[in-house]
Order: sequence, then C-alpha cells, then structure tokens
Amino acid sequence: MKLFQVTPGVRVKVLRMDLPGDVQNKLVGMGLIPGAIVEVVKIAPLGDPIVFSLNGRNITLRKKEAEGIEVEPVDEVMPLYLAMFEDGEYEVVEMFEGKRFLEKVKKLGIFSGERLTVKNGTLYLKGRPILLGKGEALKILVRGVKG
Amino acid sequence: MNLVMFLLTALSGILEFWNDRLLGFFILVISLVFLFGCFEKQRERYRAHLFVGSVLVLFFAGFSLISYLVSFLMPLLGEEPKSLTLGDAVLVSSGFISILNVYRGRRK
Amino acid sequence: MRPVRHGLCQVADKKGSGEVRVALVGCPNVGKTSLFNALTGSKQYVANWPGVTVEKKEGVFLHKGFRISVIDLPGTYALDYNSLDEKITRDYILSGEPDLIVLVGDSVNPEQSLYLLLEIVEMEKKVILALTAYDEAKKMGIKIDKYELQKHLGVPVVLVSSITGEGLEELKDLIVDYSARKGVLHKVHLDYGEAMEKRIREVLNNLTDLPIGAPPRYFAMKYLSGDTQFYQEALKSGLPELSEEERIAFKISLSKKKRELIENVIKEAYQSSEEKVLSLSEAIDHVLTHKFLSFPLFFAFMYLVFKFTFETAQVFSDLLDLAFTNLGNLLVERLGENAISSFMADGLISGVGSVLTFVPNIFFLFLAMGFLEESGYLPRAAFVMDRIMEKFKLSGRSFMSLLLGFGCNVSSVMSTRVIDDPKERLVTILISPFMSCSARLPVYLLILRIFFPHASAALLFSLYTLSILITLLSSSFINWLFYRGRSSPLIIELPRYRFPTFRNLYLYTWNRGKHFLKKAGTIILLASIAIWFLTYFPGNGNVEESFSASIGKALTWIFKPFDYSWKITLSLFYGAVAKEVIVSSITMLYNFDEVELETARSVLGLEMDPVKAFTFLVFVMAYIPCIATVATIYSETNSLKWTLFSVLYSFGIAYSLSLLVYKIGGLVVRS
Ligand SMILES: Nc1nc2c(ncn2[C@@H]2O[C@H](COP(=O)(O)OP(=O)(O)OP(=O)(O)O)[C@@H](O)[C@H]2O)c(=O)[nH]1
Ligand SMILES: [Mg+2]
Repeated sequence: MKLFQVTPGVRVKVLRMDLPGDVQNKLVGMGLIPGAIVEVVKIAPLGDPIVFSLNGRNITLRKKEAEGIEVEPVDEVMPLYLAMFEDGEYEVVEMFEGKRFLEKVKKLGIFSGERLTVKNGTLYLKGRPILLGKGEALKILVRGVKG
Repeated sequence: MNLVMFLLTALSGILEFWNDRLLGFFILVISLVFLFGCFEKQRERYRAHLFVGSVLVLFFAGFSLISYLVSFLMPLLGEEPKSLTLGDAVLVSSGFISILNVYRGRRK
Repeated sequence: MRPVRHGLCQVADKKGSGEVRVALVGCPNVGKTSLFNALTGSKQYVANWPGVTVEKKEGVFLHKGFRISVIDLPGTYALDYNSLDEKITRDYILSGEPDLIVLVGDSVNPEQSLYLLLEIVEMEKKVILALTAYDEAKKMGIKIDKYELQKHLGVPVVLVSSITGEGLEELKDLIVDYSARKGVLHKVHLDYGEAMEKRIREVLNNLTDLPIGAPPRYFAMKYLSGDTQFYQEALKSGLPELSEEERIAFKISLSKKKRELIENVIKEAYQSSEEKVLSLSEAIDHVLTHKFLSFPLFFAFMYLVFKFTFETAQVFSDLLDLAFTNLGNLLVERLGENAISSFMADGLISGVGSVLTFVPNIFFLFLAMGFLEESGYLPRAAFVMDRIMEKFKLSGRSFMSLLLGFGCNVSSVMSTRVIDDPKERLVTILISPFMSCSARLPVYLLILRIFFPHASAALLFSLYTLSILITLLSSSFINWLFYRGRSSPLIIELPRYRFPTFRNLYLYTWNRGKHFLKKAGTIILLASIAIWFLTYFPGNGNVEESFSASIGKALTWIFKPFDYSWKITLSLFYGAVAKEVIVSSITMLYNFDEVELETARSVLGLEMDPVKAFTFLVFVMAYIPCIATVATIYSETNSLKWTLFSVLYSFGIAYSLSLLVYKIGGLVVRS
C-alpha cells in the first residue's frame, strides 16, 4: 500500500521509499525512514497535499511524493478500505453508525465476526464477490486473520 | 451549544448585512463553523467547532468594539461618532458567550 | 595518533580569554531567534513558521565578566549538506569558529532536536542542549527529567523558556562555565553494531590523508552514507567508490540507529499525562483546514485584516493629516510666503507629512499580519492553497512568501530562501513584486479618496485582487517562458498554534513599522527635498517653469496613450525610488494638502476623470519594484539579467494592463 492511499486516522509503518534524491534526503533528514511509524492526519480540502504525523510533528506532503512511499498498517484493526489493498482473509470487527448503511450491509450479509476475503483487490464473502463504495468500506473495521 | 451560537451569530450577521454587506457576509461565514459543528458526531470535534468558532466571534466582536471606541475620536475631525447598531449589539453579546466557551475549551 | 582538528584550542589562543562565541543551532521554528533575542536583548524577526531566519545574525551579551557573542543560524532538520541552510550551518559548525554550540531543542517534541544533537556530538564539538518552550511543555503536563537526559546524552542540559525567561540565567552560567572548561568533550561513541562499525573501521584504516575540518570518524560515516560534500572529498583522497544502494542503505541504518537511541532516551526522561484527546492544535486545525470551511475562513481573515487596516486605522490617519496641515498653515502664517516657508511647508511637511499620515494604516496592517504569522496560521494557509498554487506552477511554500509581500516585497523576496527548488524560488522572486505592498497603500488611499469617496473600499479590494491575479498569472507565464516544468514538492512542518503574546506582537509591529518610519526619515525625506528644489527653482515657486516641469514634459510621450499630464508622469518617475514618493510628489506638484479633499478634487479633476485615476492606480500597483526591492532581487538572484527582466517585465505588464483598463473603462463609462 502507498502512503497516499492511507485514510486519516490509520497508523502505518514505512517499508520502502522510492523518491527523487533531494526529496528523499529531506524526508530522511526529517525522520521519515523505513521503519518509522506515521499517521495520515488530514487531507487538504482540495484533496491534494496530505498532513502526516511523525513522532508528534505534523508534516505536509503532496500525493505525488506520497506515491513513492510504501507502507503497511501497524494496527491489527483497520478500515476495510485499506484491507482491500492487501490480499488475505479478514474478520469484521465493528461497523459504524448510519441506519441506511447498516441496512445495506445486513442485506449483503456482512455481520460482526464474519470472515471476508480479499483477492486481487476484490472483496469476497463466502466466495461471492461484493461491491462496496469507498465511504462504506471506510465504515467497516476489520482485523487480519492469519493463515 | 453549537446551535445556539449558530443562531446568534447568524442573526448578527443578517443584522450587520444592512449596514455593511461584506461584514455581514463574513459573520455569516463564521456562523457556518457552528452550523457544521452541529453535525459533528464525535464529541471532541463538536467542541473543536465550538472553540474555534468562539475565538473567531471574539475577533469580530473585538473588531467592532474597537471601531466603535475609535469612533469617539471622530468629533475631533468634525464628524459624528458611530452609533452601535443592533447587529453590533448581538455580535458583542455573542462575544461574551464566546469568552465562556473559550475559557471552558482551553481547560479541557 | 590522529590529531582531532576541531577549533577549541586554536580559538582559545586566538582571542582574549574573556570572549566566547556561541552558535545557536536547531530545527526550524524551535525558537532559536526567540532565545537569541532573550539572551542578547535584540529584536530580530520571530514568527511561528519554519524558515523565518535566513541569514546568520550576531548579537552580544555580557555575563560574569565575559563577553559572549551569540550567532543565530537558520534552522535545519539535519546537517546533510542538501540545502543552502544545511550548508551554511554545517560549514559554520565545522569551521571551528564557535567555541561552543547551544543546540536549541523543542521541549514538547524533542525527537528531531536530539537527532541534530547526536550529529553535532559526532562532529566532536562542545555542545549544550537547551530545550526551549519549556513553558508550553509544562502547560501540557509534560515532565522532563533533565538529569536523565544529561546522563544518556553526555552533554549539559538546560530547560528554558524565552517567553517567561525561565532558565535563562542557568543557560548563561552554563555557557560561561562550560566554554572555559577543557576536556569536557566526551566522545560519546554511538555504537552502530558490529557490521557497521567494521565498515567504519575499514575506512578509517584506509584513510591516509587526514580530512580537513572534520573528525575522522564523522568523515568516514559521511563518506559511507554518500554525503554530497564528503563523499566527493573522500574519492579525491583515494577511497573507493561505493554503489548508490550501499550508500543509501548505510545512511538509513545510521539514521535508524540514532532514532532508536533517541526513542529510548525519551522514554526514560519524559513523562507525559497520557491522554489521547484532540489537542488544542488539532482541534483548531480540524476547523481551519476543514473541507468546506477552510476557504471561506481564509477569506474572512483576509477581510478582517483589510477592514482593520483601512477602517479602524483611518481615524488616526485623518487626525495626523489634520495636524500636519495645521502645522503647515501655521508655518506659512508665521514666516510669510517665501522660499523658506515654502521649503518647510510644501517640501518637508507636505512631502514627508503626506506619507507619514499613513503610518497608522501601515502599523495596523503589520499588527494584523503579525497576528497571522505568530499564530501559526500561515503554513496552514499554504497547505490549504497548495492545490491552487500548483495550477500556477508554484507551491504552498511560495504562497507563504507571497502573502508576506502584502507587508513588504523585500521581506517576501528574502523569505524565498527556504524554497528548496531553485526554479520555483526564482519564479517566486520575480513575481513577488506584484503583491501589493504597504508602500502602495498611501497612493491608493489618496487617489481613491479624491475620486471615489463612496466606492473606495470596493475598488481597493479590486486592486488587491488584481495584484494577486497578476502575481499568479505571471508565475504561469514565466514558467511557460523558461521552464515548462512542474512545481516542486511541499514539505513543511506545521507548527503548534500559539496565541501571540502581547510582547511578540509589539516587537513584530514595531520592527516592521520602524522600517517604514526610517524610510520616511531617509529616502522619502531626501526625495521630498530634491523634488521641492526641482519644483521650486528656477521659477521661484511657479511650478510650470520649474526643472520638474522640464523633466516631466520630456517624459510625457511615454504615457501618450493615457493622456497623463506631465505632473502625473513625473510622480511615477519619482515614485521609482519608493512608491510613497508618488504621494509626496503629487501633493507637492499640485500644491494641495490632503485634508482639503475638495480642493484636491478640483485641481486633479481638471486633468483626470475617474477612469484615468483608476488606470493610474492599476499602473502604480504593477509597475517596477521600488529600489530596495530591486536591490534585494539582485542580491538574492545574483544575476543582473533576472533583475533587469523583473524591472522590464513589470513595466511591460503594468503598461499593457492599465492600457487595457483604460480602454475598457473608457468604453463602459462613455457609452
Ligand atoms: N511559548 C513559547 N513560545 C516560544 C518560545 N520560544 C519561541 N517561541 C515561539 O516559537 C515560534 C518560533 O520562534 P522563532 O524564534 O522564530 O524560531 P526559530 O527557531 O528562530 O525559527 P526559524 O528562524 O524559522 O528557524 C514563535 O512563534 C515564538 O513566539 C518559548 O520559549 N515559549
Ligand atoms: Mg529564527
């Protein structure tokens, strides 16, 4: 997963950085190195620069640069939206409010504790592919299941 | 609380609008801060709107108070001092409530 | 045995024993300049965004019989020789000139500061750690154990606050004490693990020439991590080339090890009341960079600044105006009508006074700008606006510089130094003179009050909008002309919001305003005197027969399409010195006092209609930068070509734009 895909409020760990020399140097100097833990705090109103927090400091970065930074979620529990970037099996932990939303998910058959599978960026429930919007996928929290 | 503040500032914005279009307009902008605050579900964010909105109201109220005070110098130029309009009065009174909000917001 | 070549012993010999040179080093925006001001009692520019200080500044204080010079440096996150700031700072530290380094760190978020500290420790320099903004840390309930820090880092630690003055005496004592002591340079050996240590040892064994100015271990590490400066030097002295991957890997490992160490140190020494609530800064950010609110709020702030500057300050301006007019009249009454009284009344009072009446407006503007800068809103505005600026091939960083231009173009040109990308920096320098600075304000106000007494606010607003538009479009244009590239990345650290202290605001406003007063007392005074002479002689008061008239008349062809009279032409000519001079020359050439708007209107009204007057203002807004700005552009770009380009380009733009306004205005009004 790339840093620019991460949604606000999720903590991620930097795996690799592949950026033009001067930008990379500057970021490394500021402490953004593989292994560092960052959190996207905010996305600008017009969608472009993002703010990420690194050791309590907030630093802005354009999406173009954030594209070159490979990350992975730190916490077990994350929004389904992020889980979709990584193939694997996930367990639904929690779903946020919204009457309409809850009804829709119910219809689809997604409940807390249910297992979901992600394969090539598509979501499967008991072998059945499911389509969810970004907003909906953000409202479902899942936990990765090993094995 | 956000709702109360929204109504108050919106009212003063509308009242100011008669005298000074732009000022009224921008006070309405400030009232939007409270309006959006009403819809925040998270408690922290709800309070964030209240806090920041109140600080902004304080700026505007402070501004109109200062211009009012400064206008006491006008007679030296042979001009009439400004009188406090109804809009100003509402603005300043919401400023007072804001002080309370800010005080409470800072302590948390 | 390898001699370690740092400057300590040499310096001690070179200077008298009672002198100490201390360099302040630290991350951007930690509070170095504030500490500098607190120590030395100077009044340097302080603001709440990274990259305020762009030049080395020196100050002195006396303590316990020692004369201590303090050097304030630009802030840097690392000392890697990547940007200009890093180069300046590192060269200065390694030069051995400072006897002692005070690393100014942030009490609240010390991680990056400690990283910098370890770099300096590895340079084997004497260093004290001063954690500043301690007042804020206390307020947030953070407890810092300075002895624990001292123990782990091996350097003396002081907790200070430049705002409350806490710890300053302790710091001063420590500076005196520590600089006098010999052999306190513990070589804290950071152990990087066997594999890396082995590489370092290998390099050290192969090192035949001793590196100049850097300790060998530091040199070896910099070579292994492919440092811009030392890698090249190492190759020259015969060390083998390394693959790029290896260099980067080494660099990252070094950094990682340091950060791990720091994390542990912080864990030991820091104790905070751990509650994860939305902190005050986050709360404010949530609203100010809100998806829907951020833009309207930005304009609301601009509006308030505007209103404050023009309306609230206006009463004071009018009062001053009245005072100057009366003074002038009094002088003429007492002395009678002759050359001397004319010189005093028309030359000095009218010339300088007409500019001085705008002092309240300008001070109020700076007060409002000080609030924006000190609160920490500026970088947020940059963040919010970045997407728009990108369309014009700029970044939010240049937006920050440009906003400063509302105060003074010189400061905005200076502040471009922290823009890393040289192209973007150059473009920002070239376009920044279009931002309508405070010096143009008097001209606008004068003309608008004469010709548009009822619509002046709206027209003023349109002038400012126009200036922003031209600035942005010029950026696109210049980029298209020379680069056709894209804008550079935006990497800014957003500072904590701070409520500006009264003292800081006062310092800011006074610093900036003083500049304006100084200008009135020097350039504008001289220009006024010169203009008075040129206008009074040889006709002895008859303007039409003066030198000015000859110069003006010789220049009118330039403005043929606008039909400007020679007086207006001349005022623009004189105004090239400083824009305020336009006001002085108009009042002198037409011989009116400002307060008598009626006379002014009737005199000027003979030559100008409202359309012409507005055209004039558009021209004034855009035409050539004042001398101070031109000089700054030259010193910052170091290129005659670009300086010339800036002058010619702005003149061209001003000319064509105002011609356009003139023609369109003419059509609209006359039809
Ligand atoms: N509360 C508090 N604020 C401080 C203190 N020291 C500095 N500040 C604030 O921190 C901000 C930055 O201060 P500067 O002194 O300009 O920082 P700097 O390190 O010189 O910054 P650059 O020149 O940009 O590198 C300003 O808003 C100061 O008012 C302190 O001890 N306490
Ligand atoms: Mg500084």
